[in-house]
Amino acid sequence: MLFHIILRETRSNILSLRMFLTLILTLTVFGLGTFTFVVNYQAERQLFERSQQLKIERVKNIAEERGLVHLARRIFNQDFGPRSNSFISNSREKYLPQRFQYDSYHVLSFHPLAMSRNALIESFQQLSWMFIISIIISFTVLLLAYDTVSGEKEARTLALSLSNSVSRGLVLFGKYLSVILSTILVLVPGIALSLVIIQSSGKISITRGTLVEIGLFLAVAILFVACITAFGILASVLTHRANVSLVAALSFWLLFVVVVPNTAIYWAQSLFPIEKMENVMRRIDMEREDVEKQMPEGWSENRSSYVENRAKLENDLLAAEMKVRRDWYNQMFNQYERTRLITSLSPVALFEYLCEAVVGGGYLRFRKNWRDMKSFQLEYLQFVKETDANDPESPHQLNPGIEFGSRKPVAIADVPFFNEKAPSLPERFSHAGIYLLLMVIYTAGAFALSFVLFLRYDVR
Amino acid sequence: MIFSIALKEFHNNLLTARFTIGFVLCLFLIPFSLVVNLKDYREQLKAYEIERVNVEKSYQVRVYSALRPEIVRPPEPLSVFSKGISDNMGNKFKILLGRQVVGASGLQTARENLLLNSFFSMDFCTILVVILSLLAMLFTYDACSGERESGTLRLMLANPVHRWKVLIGKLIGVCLTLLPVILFCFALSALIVLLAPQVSFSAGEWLRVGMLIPVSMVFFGLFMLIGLFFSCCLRSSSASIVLCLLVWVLSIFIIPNLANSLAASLVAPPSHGDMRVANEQVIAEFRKKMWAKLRSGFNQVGPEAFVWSMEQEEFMYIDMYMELAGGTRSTMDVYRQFFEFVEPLRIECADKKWVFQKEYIDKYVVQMRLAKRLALLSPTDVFRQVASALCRTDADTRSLRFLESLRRYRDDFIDYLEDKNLFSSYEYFTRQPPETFMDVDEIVRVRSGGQFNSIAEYRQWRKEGGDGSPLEKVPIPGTEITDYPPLELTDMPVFEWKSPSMLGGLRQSMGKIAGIIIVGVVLFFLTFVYFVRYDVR
Repeated sequence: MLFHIILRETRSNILSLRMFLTLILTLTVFGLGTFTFVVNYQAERQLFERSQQLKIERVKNIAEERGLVHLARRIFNQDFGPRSNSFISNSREKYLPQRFQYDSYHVLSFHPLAMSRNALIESFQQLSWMFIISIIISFTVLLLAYDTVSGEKEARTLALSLSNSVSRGLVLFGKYLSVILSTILVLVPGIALSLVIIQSSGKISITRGTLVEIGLFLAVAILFVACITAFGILASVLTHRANVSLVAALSFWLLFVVVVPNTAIYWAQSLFPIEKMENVMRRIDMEREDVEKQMPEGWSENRSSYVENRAKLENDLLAAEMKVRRDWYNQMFNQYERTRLITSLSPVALFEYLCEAVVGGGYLRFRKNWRDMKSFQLEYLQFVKETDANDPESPHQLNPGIEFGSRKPVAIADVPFFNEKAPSLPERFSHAGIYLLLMVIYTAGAFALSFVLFLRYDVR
Repeated sequence: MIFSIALKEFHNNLLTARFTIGFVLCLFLIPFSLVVNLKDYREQLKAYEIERVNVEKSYQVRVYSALRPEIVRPPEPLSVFSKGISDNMGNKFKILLGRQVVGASGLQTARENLLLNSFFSMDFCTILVVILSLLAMLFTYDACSGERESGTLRLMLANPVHRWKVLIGKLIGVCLTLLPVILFCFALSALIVLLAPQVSFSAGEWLRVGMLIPVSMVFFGLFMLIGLFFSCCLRSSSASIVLCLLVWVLSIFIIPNLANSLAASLVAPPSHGDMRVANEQVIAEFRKKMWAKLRSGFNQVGPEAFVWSMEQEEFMYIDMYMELAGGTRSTMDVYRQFFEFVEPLRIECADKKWVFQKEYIDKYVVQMRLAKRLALLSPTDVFRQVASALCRTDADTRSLRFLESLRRYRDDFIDYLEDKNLFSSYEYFTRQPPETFMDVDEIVRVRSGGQFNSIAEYRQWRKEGGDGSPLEKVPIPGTEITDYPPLELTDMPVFEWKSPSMLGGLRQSMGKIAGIIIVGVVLFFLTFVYFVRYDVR
């Protein structure tokens, strides 16, 4: 019986005008979006590689001409380039910090990469799969689902359906599955077209890892479609008239797509305020003063231990500053993560975070790199110390302030560079955990509510 | 008759759920967006006030090489209504000899936490356009098809009334419904702005906000006509709503994003690295010449080189501040010749770099223009472009023209320095009058109170382990740089930024508004044709 209902519903969906229109729209947008991705990715990749090459040249100049001690305290930029799987989800990486500043003593700060975007253009979203699904497909789902119950009631076919010996739950579930199925029928050609374009461009290779990501993405996308469908059905059983359910469905959609994500900054600023920059700078100054006070009286006059003391002071000053900075950065991360939890009220935002986990991009990538960068810096410092220890002429007092170390040139081949590692699958799953749970709860909740309402639905 | 149809539509619409929900959404979203934007604005204003005080202090200089005007731009109050690109650029601009004005430094966004920039927020104009365009279509999509389905259209047309009158009546009815919502949105936003502390708009700015009202009506008119058009072409109201909603999603979410990505793929982004390399070459060439000049100067002077009080700052070969006092005549002459030679070279170097920089910027400008042109396909984006032009937050006003006028100002400033022959004057780096320059032995003799008779004796003393303290015995008046008062800069050109007048801004957007009106008229005509031929059964 369930099969019968699904078949009937899906057939009527497929033949409908909305299905036809959204299919055309989806195919066009998937096509154009992938085209822009392929072209933009190539251009961005080139620019990124060029800038990496220039960076290595700069490092080389300093290492080979000015020697180890200058290299150790020169601040370099570590940039993060475009991701080859960002056609699945771009995760707003252009608006997240993509540049870390580091030397061998510390990882100083993170910044957005100014040159990765055109400052004359307002913020916009790339047309990645994630974006297309979270906007167009979710909209389509609501268009398909809003009148499944109220529309049939108006057409008076609902009473006929229910006069058969079939439970109401089964009818509702059949309708529910058929909307999901029809949506998948719209989705799959779009994704296939997109993959064909990427393959035929020949510039981006689809590896096994990408295939796993695509698979996971499809699973997440189906879950998302199921969630939105549940809300669409809910809108449909809320009222007895199709055009009122349409308005209800649209309100859900506006709430998820427009209201919740766009009020995030308000919540962040009013619920989770963080320390002001001036305040942090003042704290840093205070900490530094404290460190200076702790130095033994008249240390700078004492010639014999000057170098040692000065190096100690410089190291302590930096440690004091970094303590305050790290604390401040943690405040930022907390503020951001908590705000994300608030925006998790919206399945559309949840879907975006899940996709971020699937592709290992966005904030997940940023946090992972930030952590990895820290361990890379320790490794880099280790390298500097070892190289310094091998130089008998060096005073062996490395510090971030003054060059008390080896001035011997260093071969560029020996200098360690940071290698970005994509988040591993367990890391992605643990990032996705809470969002996945919430999505399942929303889906089950909305469907259960519509089930209860449907049981009490007056079909006359 | 038109009037009674309009009134009927109005009553009908007022009672519907869509009206209530649209109204509630506006009521909910507008305060949120305004509060966020007002907070951003206030933070920017605070930073601006602090910077302005600093900048005024920076004009308190004693020599011309220290005089480099700094301009702090006030934040745009109208960004509260339409954010545009007002957050994309810093607020501080420094005029330097060795670099054209290409960008800004200083505070960029008002937000401490850079991560928050990945949450987007809609400004007032975007919310208005998102919700009201939806409402406009929701009110019109079933104007004909819905009435046909319920059978009332037949009854209405059974009266002795022209079909065009019915059509106009319906339009007026929807206008009557939307008008209070639009006015309410504006009134609410004006109230929030008026109640906000520290934010005050001038009359001109209120006028610009006021201009947004008629402009927004033109756009909502268009959306009403789109809804009406679909309603008259199609026989079922569910088909017309689907079409309306797809048009809406396309014009708000798809076309603007697609236009920006397409523009980026059609116009490749310029390479920052390559521009930097080209600039570094120019600088390296300059650096070589600069050091050669300085070295040859000091080789001539030899042991005579001596300066008592000195302060200098070198800014990556882009500019150089130097202030001297109590130097020997020959040293001062070396520096005078140095600056006479080097400053024009520095300006030339800036011009050479500007060629590459301009090429770089121009690519982004072309990209932006293309993106805007492609986005014209979406009526809502046209509205946002017009609104940001009215609010002075579009790329042209906020960034390109402003930088243009700063570049003109830099030319004026350089002309001013050249007209007064400052590069070849002593005043460029010292305030000590040339007639009081002494020779080196005399300086050492006077300062040491006769302990040394010549610089050679003093150097010998230092070599034997003596310190510099004997030279501090007898101070010579007028040989400390701090002995002199700041320069009087009454005739220096002052930077003035006149943002384009409102009429100028409107004239710029006239084409777009006219385009929308023409499309509207065509749509109305088509709707009319379809409605006349509409089968009401």
